[in-house]
Amino acid sequence: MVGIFQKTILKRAPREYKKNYFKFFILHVFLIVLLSLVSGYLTGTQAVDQSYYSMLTSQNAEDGEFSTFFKFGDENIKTIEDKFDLNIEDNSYYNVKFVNKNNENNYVNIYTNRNEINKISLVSGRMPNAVDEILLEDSYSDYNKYEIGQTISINDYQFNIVGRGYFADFPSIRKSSTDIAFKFEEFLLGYVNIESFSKFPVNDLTFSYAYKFNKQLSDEEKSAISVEMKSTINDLTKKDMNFVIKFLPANENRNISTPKNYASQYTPIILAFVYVMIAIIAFVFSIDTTSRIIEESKVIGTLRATGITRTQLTSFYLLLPLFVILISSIVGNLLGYFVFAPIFANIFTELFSFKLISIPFYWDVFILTTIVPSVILFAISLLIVALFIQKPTSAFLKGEIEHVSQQGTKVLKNKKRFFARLRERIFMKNFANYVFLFIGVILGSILFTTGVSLKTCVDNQINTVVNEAFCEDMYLLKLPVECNEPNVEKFGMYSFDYEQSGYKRTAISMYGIVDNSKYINIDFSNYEEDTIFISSGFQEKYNVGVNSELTFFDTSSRTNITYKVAGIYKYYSSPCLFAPIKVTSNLTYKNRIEPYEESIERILKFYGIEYDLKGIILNGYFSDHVLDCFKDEHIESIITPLTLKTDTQMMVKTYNTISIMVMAAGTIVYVLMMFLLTRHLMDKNTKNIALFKILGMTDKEILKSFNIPSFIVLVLSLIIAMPISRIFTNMYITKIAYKTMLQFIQYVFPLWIYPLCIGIGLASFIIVLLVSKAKIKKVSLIELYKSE
Amino acid sequence: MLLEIKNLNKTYGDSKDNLFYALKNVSFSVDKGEFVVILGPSGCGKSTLLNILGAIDKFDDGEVTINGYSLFNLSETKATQYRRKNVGFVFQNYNLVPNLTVRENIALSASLVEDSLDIDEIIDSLGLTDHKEKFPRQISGGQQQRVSIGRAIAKNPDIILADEPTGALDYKSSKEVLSIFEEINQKYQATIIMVTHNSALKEMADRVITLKDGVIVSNEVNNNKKAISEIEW
Repeated sequence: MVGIFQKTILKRAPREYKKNYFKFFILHVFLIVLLSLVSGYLTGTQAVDQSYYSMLTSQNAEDGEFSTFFKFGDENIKTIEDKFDLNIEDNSYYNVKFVNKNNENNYVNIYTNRNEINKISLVSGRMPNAVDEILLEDSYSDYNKYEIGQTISINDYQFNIVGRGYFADFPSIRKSSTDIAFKFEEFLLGYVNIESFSKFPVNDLTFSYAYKFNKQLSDEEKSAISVEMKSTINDLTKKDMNFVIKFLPANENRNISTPKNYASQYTPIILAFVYVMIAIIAFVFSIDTTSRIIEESKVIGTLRATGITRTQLTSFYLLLPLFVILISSIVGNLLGYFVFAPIFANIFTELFSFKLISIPFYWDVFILTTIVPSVILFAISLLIVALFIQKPTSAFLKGEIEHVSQQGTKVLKNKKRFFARLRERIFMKNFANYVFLFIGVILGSILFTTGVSLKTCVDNQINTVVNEAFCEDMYLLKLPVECNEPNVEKFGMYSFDYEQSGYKRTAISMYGIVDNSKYINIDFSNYEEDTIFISSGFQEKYNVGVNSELTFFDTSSRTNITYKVAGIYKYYSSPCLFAPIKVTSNLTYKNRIEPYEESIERILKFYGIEYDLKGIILNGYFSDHVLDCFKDEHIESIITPLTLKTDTQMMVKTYNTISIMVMAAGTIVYVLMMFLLTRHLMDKNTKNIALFKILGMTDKEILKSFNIPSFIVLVLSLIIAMPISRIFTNMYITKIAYKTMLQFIQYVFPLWIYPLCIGIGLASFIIVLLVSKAKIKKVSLIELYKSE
Repeated sequence: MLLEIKNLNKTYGDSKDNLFYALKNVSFSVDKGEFVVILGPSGCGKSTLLNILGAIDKFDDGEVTINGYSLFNLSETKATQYRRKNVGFVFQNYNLVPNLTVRENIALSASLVEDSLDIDEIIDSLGLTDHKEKFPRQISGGQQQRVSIGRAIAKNPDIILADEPTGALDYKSSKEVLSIFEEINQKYQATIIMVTHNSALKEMADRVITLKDGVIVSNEVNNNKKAISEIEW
């Protein structure tokens, strides 16, 4: 009996599959798309992560670097090497402004050496071995179309491009290691041999040194050694009247640390989303399966009476859902591995600057995107099917297993018009269906609205930084240089590290502003000393306010400084602080000038600058016009509304991608749920539809009877979804993004999002109408003659 | 004359070689208020004929007119309008909407036309007053069929088409249901065409049409019509 039953199952299942081929086709397509994208993402990003870690080893990437104003002598290098058991390699470079082949002003760092640490990984061509030969960083060359065999003009020298490669200390490329945005499009790295290197003017040389510990150390051990090492280097440079411009352990160097798990950072959230989707699909399947059980209850009763076990029956009803998920996940995995994994890997390798070694097949990805979804779907289906199959055989034989029918058989008030009553009956009869439509639409709406609101926040942030720019041209200076042009205003700047429980440690800038500033409207005269203003971005990100006491860590003096918040300055562009210029000036003098005063005076003399270091120390100028007071070597950067906009666009690029992905996911969920559940509703009511047609009801009347409840459910879901989405977006930005991301995006939720999302939701109701209209038209009147 | 059928042909099959005549040259007519019984064995074309009269099925050629309205090649919309206004159906397996009460099942049909009969009066005359708020599964098969008749009569149609209405019922329930047909035929002057394979029922008809292999073998007026209470089988 058992064998025959199993054989019968195997014959019947394909027939069922064939009969409902369109529905299964849609499910296959959805699951394959979903799982192939996810497995592609997981495989591609894991391959990127693996390549990154492999690059750090194979190219012997540095454990840190430091730069000094004058050459750090060989004896000093030996002292550091011996004391801290490490190897130091001269990684000095020329930072040169040049005009690229597209006639744009770009910067290039020219390196040589790199035999031990930060080796170059050749992408194509060869290493330069003659004068006038150069190797260019690959991402820049790709973007700006520099090929091997062409020439590039730097500092009036023509170089032949002989190779393209990756630099181990620049797996992500920023002009300054403190920048948040990547800039490989306008910042080039070049490598030349020692003869070519010596052609550049010595004045442009930045003395930089890369170090690598001789032993394998943990991150904690490296950090502990770094503190002492920095202090030793400071002492050595001070002794030589030299000055440390930068000391940067690799884990604090954004160029090196950014790609670390960058690509795979969304894995948990993506997997959670996929599993929620699979659970919903499992419930949709279960509605379908339980409808079949109800429809076939008498047959099931007879089979039970003839000795077929509940397990056998359950296994039959689980066969199709399992088949669909297994086939879809296997196909999805293959598609993910062969098609999407290279695409996702490329997205990130294009963003970064290291070689993608290979895309291996990861068994953990296979398990996460095949076994786990199948288990989720199986478990939910088993639970629901088992609950139905558990009912007594007599109930099956009498056809009395439909629990939900109790809701459909409630006596209604007679006063209602008949069609309203009919719709109410249809709603009650198909209650489970509408519940899942409700859940599906809510989920879809939440995703969609979250995507829209995230996008709104991103767009708003880009506009905000432009609108809130302090001035048209903000000059950040490397050296204090006086400028007496009209309508310019000096400012000071000091940087602290700020850390709040649960938040990522972030560098926060403090702007020191002059009295009666024309550019930043804060009057400090009424406040006590050591009080500061915080930007509204700071207030929002860290949830602090007036009178809060904030403690910052000063990396120069390695001490904590506490300030009381006197007020909030409306500035959402970034979290920052504002204080009188004498505050930043005192801090700069005390912590960054006084200990190295002789060295700094030597530097100023070197540049021919006369400046009173005991007076107000300035770090830049606000201006609404271009200034002629400075030479190139004085300027760190010029910030304009346009550069702010570009930088912000780069910074929020990931957010933009996420918001679009979330919007797309929401739309797919919407469409899928509406399609599947409407189709199920129609299938389940085929006989009633045939009867209504025979009685003379028009297709339009039938359509209205079934879809007005769907419409009400849809509108209700959308209305409920809006505040949930608002809370969700707020939570995502304020509770997750504020804490984990370095950049700041102000949370906004304009009211127009409500009508937009409801409008789009209602527009998608067309799917419901089309599906039901097609099905109603297709229902044959002869359906009624089919046996129960 | 209410219904007139002339040379009606209905075939199945897609080529001349396997063409099968479900109905061949069928012609008859029915007057208003007549109770017609169509007899014949299974597969003789009775239900096909009924479906054609109800515009559920189409026919190949011939003429079918009800109150002068031709059913040949009706569009979907016109067929719907015809079924809505002119026809009441009674099926062997009742086909009631399970989650509508007795009253609602009848109201479903009544709500489709403007000149429907009074629902409560129908319920009373069908002896369903005590069951009107019950659902189909809470009443017997005979009672369900009575609801089905109520649903057919509620919209005051030109013609009631009954397909083996007692096929699923026991003897007693069958008699109850048939007496209802008898009653509505007399009370509402309803024209009823009833398909059955029970030849004993021909005695309750005004006209008896016998079909065999899609062809009418007899079309007789019954001058000795009996009440259902007098008929035994």
